[in-house]
Amino acid sequence: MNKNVLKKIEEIKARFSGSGKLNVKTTSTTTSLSEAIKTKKQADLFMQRLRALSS
Amino acid sequence: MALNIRINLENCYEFNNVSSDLTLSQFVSDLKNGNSAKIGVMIDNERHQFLPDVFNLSFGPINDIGQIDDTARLSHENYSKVFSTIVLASIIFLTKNSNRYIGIDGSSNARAYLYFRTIQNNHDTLTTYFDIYGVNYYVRILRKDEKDNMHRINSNDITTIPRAINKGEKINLSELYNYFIFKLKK
Repeated sequence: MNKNVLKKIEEIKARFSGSGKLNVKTTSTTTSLSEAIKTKKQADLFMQRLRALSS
Repeated sequence: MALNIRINLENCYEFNNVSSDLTLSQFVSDLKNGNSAKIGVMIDNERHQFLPDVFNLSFGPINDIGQIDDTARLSHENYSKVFSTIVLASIIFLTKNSNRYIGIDGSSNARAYLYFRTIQNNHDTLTTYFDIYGVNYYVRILRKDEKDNMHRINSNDITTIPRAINKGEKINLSELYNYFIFKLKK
């Protein structure tokens, strides 16, 4: 990772480490994955393939 | 919406607030009309019922009652800076949650195409940090018809697998991923 970016990330994490939880919600219309994946079996297969791709 | 977005993590807006669990970040974007908008980047902090490692990211202006409206259309003065800041918020979250995936939903063809083009145009930069995947069975099952707002379900597509998005990949609009998954490289 770029050193400047890494430094910036660490600064941001340190700066806001005590900020707690912010009171914002989302009106996101994102469709739940659970609606796409109708069975647990399909969900397991999905994650198995995703993990295989990223390993 | 601009399509020539260039991700540069050294040219981001300053965050004016970040939750301590790093799931919510806020910054102010300059708009073309001279106004500014408070933008929120939110990563779901609840594990998904079926896909516990994928956490959805949404972003948009924060309205007067403290809600991020990810359907709002704004004309940003600098889209590259806005998206770079959103990417930075994602990386910050994933540095603390390296076993998780972040998912972004292209909730319309326009958004999905924007995300795909942005990934392609910034593939070298983004793949420095992320492994990136596209999922299109998610889209095919769930995309709503814009006219009658009904879900379209094609049971033949259910077994479609997530695919790594490669540099220069060409894809037809009809096959365009609508869900994009990012995992921080180790």
